Amino acid sequence: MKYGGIMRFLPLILIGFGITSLVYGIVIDEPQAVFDIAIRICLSCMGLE
Amino acid sequence: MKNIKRSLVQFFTAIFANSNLPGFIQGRIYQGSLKQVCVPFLNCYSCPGALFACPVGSIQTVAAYGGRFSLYVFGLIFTFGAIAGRWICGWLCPFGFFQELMAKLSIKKYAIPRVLRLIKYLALFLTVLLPFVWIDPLTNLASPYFCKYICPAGTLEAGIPLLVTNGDLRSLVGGLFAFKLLFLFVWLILMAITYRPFCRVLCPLGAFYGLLNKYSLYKLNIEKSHCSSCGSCSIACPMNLQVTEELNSPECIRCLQCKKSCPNHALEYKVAIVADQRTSLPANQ
Repeated sequence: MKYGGIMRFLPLILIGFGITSLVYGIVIDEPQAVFDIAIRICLSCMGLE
Repeated sequence: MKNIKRSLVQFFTAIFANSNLPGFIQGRIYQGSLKQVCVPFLNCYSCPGALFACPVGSIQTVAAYGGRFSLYVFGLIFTFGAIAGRWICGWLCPFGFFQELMAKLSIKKYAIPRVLRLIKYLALFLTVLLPFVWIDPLTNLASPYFCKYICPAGTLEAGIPLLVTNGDLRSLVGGLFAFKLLFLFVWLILMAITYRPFCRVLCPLGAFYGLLNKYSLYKLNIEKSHCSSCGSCSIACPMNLQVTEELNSPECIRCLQCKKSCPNHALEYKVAIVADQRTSLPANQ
Protein backbone atom coordinates (compact mmCIF):
# COMPACT_ATOMS: atom_id res chain seq x y z
CA MET A 1 0.00 0.00 0.00
CA LYS A 2 1.44 3.36 -1.03
CA TYR A 3 0.45 6.56 0.62
CA GLY A 4 2.16 9.84 1.31
CA GLY A 5 1.82 13.15 3.12
CA ILE A 6 -0.05 13.23 6.39
CA MET A 7 -1.46 9.74 5.74
CA ARG A 8 2.00 8.33 6.37
CA PHE A 9 1.58 9.44 9.94
CA LEU A 10 -1.85 7.87 10.31
CA PRO A 11 -0.56 5.12 12.63
CA LEU A 12 0.91 7.75 14.94
CA ILE A 13 -2.32 9.76 14.85
CA LEU A 14 -4.30 6.62 15.73
CA ILE A 15 -1.92 5.76 18.57
CA GLY A 16 -2.28 9.32 19.89
CA PHE A 17 -6.06 8.99 19.77
CA GLY A 18 -5.91 5.67 21.62
CA ILE A 19 -3.58 6.98 24.31
CA THR A 20 -5.75 10.09 24.80
CA SER A 21 -8.82 7.91 25.28
CA LEU A 22 -6.93 5.59 27.61
CA VAL A 23 -5.56 8.42 29.75
CA TYR A 24 -8.96 10.14 29.93
CA GLY A 25 -10.53 6.82 30.96
CA ILE A 26 -7.94 6.46 33.72
CA VAL A 27 -8.45 10.05 34.88
CA ILE A 28 -12.20 9.55 35.27
CA ASP A 29 -11.47 6.44 37.35
CA GLU A 30 -12.72 3.75 35.01
CA PRO A 31 -10.11 1.20 36.14
CA GLN A 32 -11.98 1.22 39.47
CA ALA A 33 -15.22 0.39 37.64
CA VAL A 34 -13.44 -2.46 35.85
CA PHE A 35 -11.98 -3.60 39.18
CA ASP A 36 -15.40 -3.62 40.86
CA ILE A 37 -16.61 -5.94 38.09
CA ALA A 38 -13.59 -8.13 37.67
CA ILE A 39 -13.13 -9.09 41.34
CA ARG A 40 -16.49 -10.84 41.42
CA ILE A 41 -17.08 -14.20 39.82
CA CYS A 42 -18.97 -13.36 36.67
CA LEU A 43 -21.75 -15.92 36.54
CA SER A 44 -22.67 -14.73 33.07
CA CYS A 45 -19.17 -15.53 31.81
CA MET A 46 -19.49 -19.01 33.20
CA GLY A 47 -22.96 -19.57 31.80
CA LEU A 48 -24.54 -19.88 35.24
CA GLU A 49 -27.93 -18.47 36.12
CA MET B 1 8.86 -24.30 9.38
CA LYS B 2 7.73 -23.84 12.98
CA ASN B 3 8.00 -20.57 14.80
CA ILE B 4 9.33 -21.61 18.20
CA LYS B 5 9.79 -18.03 19.37
CA ARG B 6 6.10 -17.28 18.80
CA SER B 7 5.01 -20.44 20.61
CA LEU B 8 7.18 -19.52 23.59
CA VAL B 9 5.79 -15.99 23.71
CA GLN B 10 2.24 -17.38 23.55
CA PHE B 11 2.97 -19.95 26.25
CA PHE B 12 4.55 -17.52 28.70
CA THR B 13 1.84 -14.91 28.07
CA ALA B 14 -0.83 -17.52 28.88
CA ILE B 15 1.04 -18.52 32.05
CA PHE B 16 1.67 -14.91 33.09
CA ALA B 17 -1.95 -13.83 32.56
CA ASN B 18 -3.24 -16.85 34.50
CA SER B 19 -0.63 -17.26 37.22
CA ASN B 20 -2.92 -17.14 40.25
CA LEU B 21 -2.34 -20.85 40.78
CA PRO B 22 -3.95 -21.10 44.26
CA GLY B 23 -7.21 -20.05 42.61
CA PHE B 24 -7.37 -23.34 40.70
CA ILE B 25 -7.12 -25.29 43.96
CA GLN B 26 -9.39 -23.11 46.10
CA GLY B 27 -12.03 -22.50 43.42
CA ARG B 28 -11.74 -18.74 43.88
CA ILE B 29 -10.74 -15.91 41.60
CA TYR B 30 -7.96 -13.38 42.21
CA GLN B 31 -9.31 -10.18 43.78
CA GLY B 32 -6.17 -8.05 44.06
CA SER B 33 -5.49 -4.64 42.57
CA LEU B 34 -4.05 -6.02 39.31
CA LYS B 35 -7.64 -6.75 38.28
CA GLN B 36 -7.92 -3.04 37.45
CA VAL B 37 -5.61 -3.65 34.54
CA CYS B 38 -7.10 -4.92 31.28
CA VAL B 39 -5.03 -7.16 29.06
CA PRO B 40 -5.28 -6.46 25.31
CA PHE B 41 -6.36 -10.04 24.53
CA LEU B 42 -9.27 -12.35 25.30
CA ASN B 43 -8.73 -13.88 28.75
CA CYS B 44 -11.75 -14.43 30.99
CA TYR B 45 -11.41 -12.56 34.28
CA SER B 46 -13.46 -15.22 36.02
CA CYS B 47 -10.78 -17.80 35.32
CA PRO B 48 -9.43 -18.79 38.77
CA GLY B 49 -5.91 -18.08 37.52
CA ALA B 50 -6.59 -14.71 35.86
CA LEU B 51 -4.66 -11.78 37.29
CA PHE B 52 -6.08 -9.18 34.92
CA ALA B 53 -9.41 -8.13 33.40
CA CYS B 54 -10.67 -9.20 29.97
CA PRO B 55 -11.37 -6.23 27.65
CA VAL B 56 -14.41 -7.86 26.02
CA GLY B 57 -15.98 -8.68 29.38
CA SER B 58 -15.06 -5.30 30.86
CA ILE B 59 -16.40 -3.13 28.06
CA GLN B 60 -19.70 -5.01 28.09
CA THR B 61 -20.12 -5.11 31.83
CA VAL B 62 -19.29 -1.43 32.29
CA ALA B 63 -21.95 -0.73 29.63
CA ALA B 64 -24.52 -3.17 31.06
CA TYR B 65 -24.18 -2.32 34.75
CA GLY B 66 -22.61 1.15 34.61
CA GLY B 67 -24.53 2.44 31.59
CA ARG B 68 -21.45 3.98 29.99
CA PHE B 69 -18.91 3.33 27.27
CA SER B 70 -15.55 2.54 28.83
CA LEU B 71 -12.95 4.87 27.34
CA TYR B 72 -10.29 3.15 29.44
CA VAL B 73 -10.85 -0.25 27.82
CA PHE B 74 -11.49 1.23 24.37
CA GLY B 75 -8.36 3.39 24.59
CA LEU B 76 -6.27 0.44 25.69
CA ILE B 77 -7.29 -1.89 22.88
CA PHE B 78 -7.26 0.94 20.32
CA THR B 79 -3.68 1.84 21.28
CA PHE B 80 -2.52 -1.76 21.07
CA GLY B 81 -4.38 -2.20 17.76
CA ALA B 82 -2.88 0.98 16.29
CA ILE B 83 0.61 -0.17 17.26
CA ALA B 84 0.48 -3.83 16.25
CA GLY B 85 -2.92 -4.77 14.76
CA ARG B 86 -3.65 -8.48 14.99
CA TRP B 87 -0.09 -9.25 16.10
CA ILE B 88 -1.76 -9.40 19.52
CA CYS B 89 -3.98 -12.27 18.29
CA GLY B 90 -1.06 -14.13 16.82
CA TRP B 91 1.48 -13.66 19.57
CA LEU B 92 -0.29 -12.92 22.85
CA CYS B 93 -3.83 -14.32 22.98
CA PRO B 94 -4.00 -17.44 25.22
CA PHE B 95 -7.25 -18.58 23.60
CA GLY B 96 -5.63 -18.29 20.18
CA PHE B 97 -2.73 -20.36 21.51
CA PHE B 98 -5.17 -22.98 22.78
CA GLN B 99 -6.80 -23.14 19.35
CA GLU B 100 -3.40 -23.63 17.72
CA LEU B 101 -2.68 -26.53 20.08
CA MET B 102 -6.03 -28.08 19.18
CA ALA B 103 -5.21 -27.67 15.48
CA LYS B 104 -2.11 -29.81 15.98
CA LEU B 105 -4.32 -32.88 16.41
CA SER B 106 -3.82 -35.23 13.49
CA ILE B 107 -7.27 -34.87 11.98
CA LYS B 108 -8.15 -33.91 8.41
CA LYS B 109 -8.31 -30.12 8.11
CA TYR B 110 -10.96 -28.08 6.33
CA ALA B 111 -11.03 -24.50 5.07
CA ILE B 112 -13.48 -21.99 6.50
CA PRO B 113 -15.77 -20.36 3.89
CA ARG B 114 -14.64 -16.75 3.55
CA VAL B 115 -18.10 -15.32 3.99
CA LEU B 116 -18.24 -16.66 7.57
CA ARG B 117 -15.43 -14.29 8.52
CA LEU B 118 -17.90 -11.42 8.33
CA ILE B 119 -19.81 -12.78 11.34
CA LYS B 120 -17.17 -11.46 13.73
CA TYR B 121 -17.90 -7.86 12.69
CA LEU B 122 -21.54 -8.41 13.58
CA ALA B 123 -20.33 -9.92 16.86
CA LEU B 124 -18.21 -6.80 17.49
CA PHE B 125 -21.11 -4.48 16.71
CA LEU B 126 -23.54 -6.36 18.93
CA THR B 127 -21.01 -6.82 21.73
CA VAL B 128 -20.59 -3.07 22.04
CA LEU B 129 -24.18 -2.05 21.31
CA LEU B 130 -26.45 -4.64 22.92
CA PRO B 131 -25.64 -4.01 26.60
CA PHE B 132 -26.86 -0.43 26.08
CA VAL B 133 -30.09 -1.17 24.27
CA TRP B 134 -31.43 -4.63 25.16
CA ILE B 135 -32.80 -5.93 28.45
CA ASP B 136 -32.13 -9.61 29.05
CA PRO B 137 -35.50 -11.41 29.38
CA LEU B 138 -33.91 -13.94 31.78
CA THR B 139 -32.88 -11.35 34.35
CA ASN B 140 -34.72 -8.13 33.38
CA LEU B 141 -31.31 -6.45 33.37
CA ALA B 142 -28.78 -5.63 30.67
CA SER B 143 -26.03 -8.26 30.55
CA PRO B 144 -22.64 -8.86 28.99
CA TYR B 145 -24.38 -10.82 26.24
CA PHE B 146 -21.32 -12.04 24.37
CA CYS B 147 -19.87 -13.51 27.57
CA LYS B 148 -23.18 -14.90 28.68
CA TYR B 149 -24.46 -16.59 25.54
CA ILE B 150 -21.47 -17.07 23.26
CA CYS B 151 -17.92 -16.83 24.63
CA PRO B 152 -16.46 -20.37 24.72
CA ALA B 153 -13.32 -19.01 26.42
CA GLY B 154 -15.40 -18.16 29.51
CA THR B 155 -16.83 -21.67 29.69
CA LEU B 156 -13.42 -23.25 29.21
CA GLU B 157 -11.34 -20.95 31.42
CA ALA B 158 -13.87 -20.04 34.10
CA GLY B 159 -17.01 -22.20 34.07
CA ILE B 160 -15.44 -25.65 34.05
CA PRO B 161 -12.51 -25.00 36.46
CA LEU B 162 -14.71 -23.19 39.00
CA LEU B 163 -17.46 -25.79 38.91
CA VAL B 164 -14.90 -28.53 39.45
CA THR B 165 -13.33 -26.83 42.46
CA ASN B 166 -16.18 -24.80 43.97
CA GLY B 167 -19.15 -26.83 45.19
CA ASP B 168 -21.28 -23.76 46.00
CA LEU B 169 -21.51 -22.85 42.32
CA ARG B 170 -22.77 -26.24 41.19
CA SER B 171 -26.30 -25.48 42.35
CA LEU B 172 -26.43 -22.72 39.70
CA VAL B 173 -25.90 -25.06 36.79
CA GLY B 174 -28.90 -25.01 34.48
CA GLY B 175 -29.97 -24.87 30.87
CA LEU B 176 -27.72 -21.94 30.03
CA PHE B 177 -24.61 -23.75 31.19
CA ALA B 178 -25.68 -26.87 29.28
CA PHE B 179 -26.07 -24.74 26.15
CA LYS B 180 -22.67 -23.13 26.65
CA LEU B 181 -21.03 -26.48 27.28
CA LEU B 182 -22.52 -27.81 24.04
CA PHE B 183 -21.42 -24.65 22.23
CA LEU B 184 -17.88 -25.09 23.61
CA PHE B 185 -17.90 -28.72 22.46
CA VAL B 186 -18.81 -27.64 18.92
CA TRP B 187 -15.98 -25.11 18.95
CA LEU B 188 -13.51 -27.71 20.21
CA ILE B 189 -14.39 -29.91 17.23
CA LEU B 190 -14.03 -26.95 14.87
CA MET B 191 -10.65 -26.13 16.43
CA ALA B 192 -9.47 -29.65 15.68
CA ILE B 193 -10.56 -29.61 12.03
CA THR B 194 -9.60 -26.06 11.09
CA TYR B 195 -7.10 -23.42 12.14
CA ARG B 196 -8.25 -20.80 14.70
CA PRO B 197 -11.98 -20.92 13.83
CA PHE B 198 -13.04 -18.70 16.73
CA CYS B 199 -10.53 -15.98 15.79
CA ARG B 200 -11.65 -16.06 12.18
CA VAL B 201 -15.39 -16.30 12.62
CA LEU B 202 -16.55 -14.96 15.96
CA CYS B 203 -14.00 -13.06 18.03
CA PRO B 204 -15.08 -9.41 18.44
CA LEU B 205 -11.60 -8.43 19.60
CA GLY B 206 -10.07 -10.02 16.51
CA ALA B 207 -12.56 -8.06 14.39
CA PHE B 208 -11.56 -4.83 16.14
CA TYR B 209 -7.84 -5.42 15.68
CA GLY B 210 -8.49 -6.54 12.11
CA LEU B 211 -10.01 -3.16 11.28
CA LEU B 212 -6.74 -1.53 12.41
CA ASN B 213 -4.44 -4.04 10.69
CA LYS B 214 -3.91 -1.94 7.55
CA TYR B 215 -3.24 1.22 9.52
CA SER B 216 -1.11 -0.06 12.39
CA LEU B 217 2.43 1.09 12.99
CA TYR B 218 3.87 -2.42 12.74
CA LYS B 219 2.85 -4.04 9.49
CA LEU B 220 3.85 -6.31 6.66
CA ASN B 221 5.61 -4.82 3.67
CA ILE B 222 6.67 -6.37 0.39
CA GLU B 223 9.80 -5.53 -1.57
CA LYS B 224 8.24 -5.93 -5.00
CA SER B 225 11.56 -6.10 -6.82
CA HIS B 226 12.47 -9.23 -4.80
CA CYS B 227 9.14 -11.04 -5.22
CA SER B 228 9.16 -13.82 -7.82
CA SER B 229 5.43 -14.56 -7.33
CA CYS B 230 6.27 -18.15 -6.40
CA GLY B 231 3.34 -18.35 -3.97
CA SER B 232 5.36 -19.85 -1.09
CA CYS B 233 3.99 -17.23 1.29
CA SER B 234 0.36 -18.05 0.52
CA ILE B 235 0.99 -21.78 0.87
CA ALA B 236 2.61 -21.20 4.26
CA CYS B 237 -0.11 -18.85 5.55
CA PRO B 238 -2.18 -20.69 8.19
CA MET B 239 -5.00 -18.17 7.78
CA ASN B 240 -5.34 -19.13 4.07
CA LEU B 241 -4.54 -15.66 2.76
CA GLN B 242 -3.16 -14.80 -0.67
CA VAL B 243 -0.39 -12.87 1.02
CA THR B 244 0.89 -10.64 -1.79
CA GLU B 245 -2.65 -9.69 -2.81
CA GLU B 246 -4.02 -9.32 0.72
CA LEU B 247 -1.14 -7.57 2.40
CA ASN B 248 -2.13 -6.64 5.96
CA SER B 249 -5.55 -8.20 5.51
CA PRO B 250 -7.86 -7.95 8.55
CA GLU B 251 -7.35 -11.72 8.87
CA CYS B 252 -3.54 -11.58 9.10
CA ILE B 253 -2.40 -12.42 12.64
CA ARG B 254 1.25 -11.62 11.85
CA CYS B 255 2.52 -15.07 12.67
CA LEU B 256 5.50 -14.47 10.32
CA GLN B 257 5.10 -17.82 8.54
CA CYS B 258 4.96 -15.98 5.19
CA LYS B 259 8.16 -14.11 5.93
CA LYS B 260 9.95 -17.30 6.93
CA SER B 261 8.77 -19.16 3.85
CA CYS B 262 9.82 -16.52 1.31
CA PRO B 263 12.94 -17.73 -0.54
CA ASN B 264 13.73 -14.21 -1.78
CA HIS B 265 13.26 -12.38 1.53
CA ALA B 266 10.72 -10.10 -0.13
CA LEU B 267 8.47 -9.85 2.92
CA GLU B 268 9.38 -7.78 5.91
CA TYR B 269 7.60 -6.56 9.00
CA LYS B 270 8.46 -2.95 9.65
CA VAL B 271 7.34 0.25 11.26
CA ALA B 272 4.93 1.65 8.66
CA ILE B 273 6.12 5.23 8.33
CA VAL B 274 9.62 4.00 7.45
CA ALA B 275 8.80 0.97 5.33
CA ASP B 276 6.50 2.53 2.74
CA GLN B 277 9.38 4.33 1.07
CA ARG B 278 10.89 0.96 0.13
CA THR B 279 7.74 -0.62 -1.26
CA SER B 280 7.40 2.24 -3.73
CA LEU B 281 10.79 1.59 -5.33
CA PRO B 282 10.54 0.70 -9.02
CA ALA B 283 11.54 -2.86 -9.91
CA ASN B 284 14.73 -1.89 -11.75
CA GLN B 285 16.34 -0.04 -8.83
